[in-house]
Amino acid sequence: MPTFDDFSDTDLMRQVQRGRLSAFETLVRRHQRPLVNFFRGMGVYNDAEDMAQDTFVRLFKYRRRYRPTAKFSTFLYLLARQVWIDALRSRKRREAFEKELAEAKRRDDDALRSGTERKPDVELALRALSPAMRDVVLLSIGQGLKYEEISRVLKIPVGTVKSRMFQAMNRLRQELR
Amino acid sequence: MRSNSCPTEPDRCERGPDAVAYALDALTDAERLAFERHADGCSACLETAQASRAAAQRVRDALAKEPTRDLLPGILDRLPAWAQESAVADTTHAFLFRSRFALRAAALVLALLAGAVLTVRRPASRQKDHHAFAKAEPAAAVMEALRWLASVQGEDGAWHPESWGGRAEFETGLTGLAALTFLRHGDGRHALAAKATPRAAAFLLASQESDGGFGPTSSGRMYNHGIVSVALLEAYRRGLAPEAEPSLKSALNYLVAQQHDGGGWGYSAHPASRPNTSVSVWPLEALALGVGQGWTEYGAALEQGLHWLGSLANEQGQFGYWQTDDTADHAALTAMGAYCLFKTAGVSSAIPADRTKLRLALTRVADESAEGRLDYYRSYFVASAVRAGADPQNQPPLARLRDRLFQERSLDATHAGSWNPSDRWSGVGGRLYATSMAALALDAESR
Repeated sequence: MPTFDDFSDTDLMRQVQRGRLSAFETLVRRHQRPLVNFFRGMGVYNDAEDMAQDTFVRLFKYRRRYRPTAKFSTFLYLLARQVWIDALRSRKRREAFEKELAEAKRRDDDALRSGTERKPDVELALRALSPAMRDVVLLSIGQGLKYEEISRVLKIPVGTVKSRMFQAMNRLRQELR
Repeated sequence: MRSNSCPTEPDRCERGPDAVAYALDALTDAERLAFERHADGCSACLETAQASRAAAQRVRDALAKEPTRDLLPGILDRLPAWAQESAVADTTHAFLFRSRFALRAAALVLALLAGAVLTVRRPASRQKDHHAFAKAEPAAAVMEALRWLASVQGEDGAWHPESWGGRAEFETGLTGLAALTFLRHGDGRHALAAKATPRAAAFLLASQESDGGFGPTSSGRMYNHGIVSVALLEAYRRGLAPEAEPSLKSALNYLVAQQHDGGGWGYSAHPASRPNTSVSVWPLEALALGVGQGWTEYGAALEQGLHWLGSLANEQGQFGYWQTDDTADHAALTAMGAYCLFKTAGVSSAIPADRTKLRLALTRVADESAEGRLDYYRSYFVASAVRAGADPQNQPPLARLRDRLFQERSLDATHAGSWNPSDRWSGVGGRLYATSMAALALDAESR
């Protein structure tokens, strides 16, 4: 009396590669929440769920590129990050978006200074990070990826992941104090 | 080893990045050990690790929000049409059956590991235990299984799989299966059955949905519904659920409604969910029990289903999963098909398959099943099919299968009488499934 729920991500992807839609559905249900939160953490609020949908559609489209030797989450977040980058590019709003983030941060900082915020907010703290630092935090803490996996997703050396993580955590600790 | 050169400011030790990685469990074993030696003398790193761990937990908590909607429907809408057409809810079996070599290898490794562990940890008790079981009578082992099942039946009359390594969505099906174990032993004429089955039947009848179905509307519903229907019909036939007739007819009507045009059953009535042997054996047995009660209105559905099932047998008498040539797990499928056809012979006008070929195929299956990895589900159908086919030549392999089953009985005193959840389906059904299926198999073999 089995269902696909018992399968590992890798086994599910093997089934998706064979065209089994039920396996794909199981992957979506398993990963939709962390993926939406990944985009939220990246500072995307209104479009986070749409971007997660885009990522899953892309996952299905590129299913044959997946190799079982790689961890599934590495593959998924490579796609997710690309969706995020493409979304910014295609709307020609990377600058505007970053500006929006900066303004939001300024408002938040003002609010914090004026005492209208009761306690440090994790979302605000994440916004305070540079995009490069936020990437490693979200992939490491948010998605549980190892440094090596993060280095593959972001295409940077493991040492860089480590140092960015260190800087990011210092900043987060200050923001969350 | 202590380091005297570490600064006191948390972010100023050169090992700070390691402290963060340590807090996030991102170091290799060697790195971790090296860091721990360092941190033993570095309060800065200890503070960094501690504070990082706390901050990480806050981030994790903040990133655990649910989406505002289920994303799946929107995603499926955007997939190409061919992907939608290939959607089949019942691919799990196909995968498992097709991946039989990998699964068998994994099962073998697990069995060897388990054997090694038991041999190393408890060689004397194992030897003694196995010796005792080798002498045990199947009927005594079944009674011990029933006692264990009775001891873990819930106050509400149900058996709760999540307490025994199974999945909650199969609570109704597993309650039906446990009840069936009581009913099949000694034709249900014993004190344990008299006590356990009316309570189980009451729970099951109360759980019936308005459409006549049993169990949650998940992909496992047809298993839940089929097994519960068979159990309740067996209880009704024995007078242990006299009030059940309207519910049973409603359950049989549900089966008729879910039957595919070709005659079989899939995980649902949706056209994309192709009928398969493994799901269909339970509805067929339920319909046969209904017709056996004189409810002839279900005869047509039964005949249609049996003809569909018969059409899945190939020239060698082996059954397929979806179609004749889909015989990757032919042993279990052949046992299921043969059991169903033999068992319904009394209420169906004809067996739509060559009976001699079926018997020969079953002989091979019984022989195969006595060797290699154990599969409780298959064991039950092999033993039941051999009994239904009444072939004396199949008794020796059944005796070996019985010995194999005995070896899987729990050696742990707290689970005495039960069977270890050790086969490929145990991740779903847990100890309740393993014990019920093993006892049903032994019971069928010993009758």
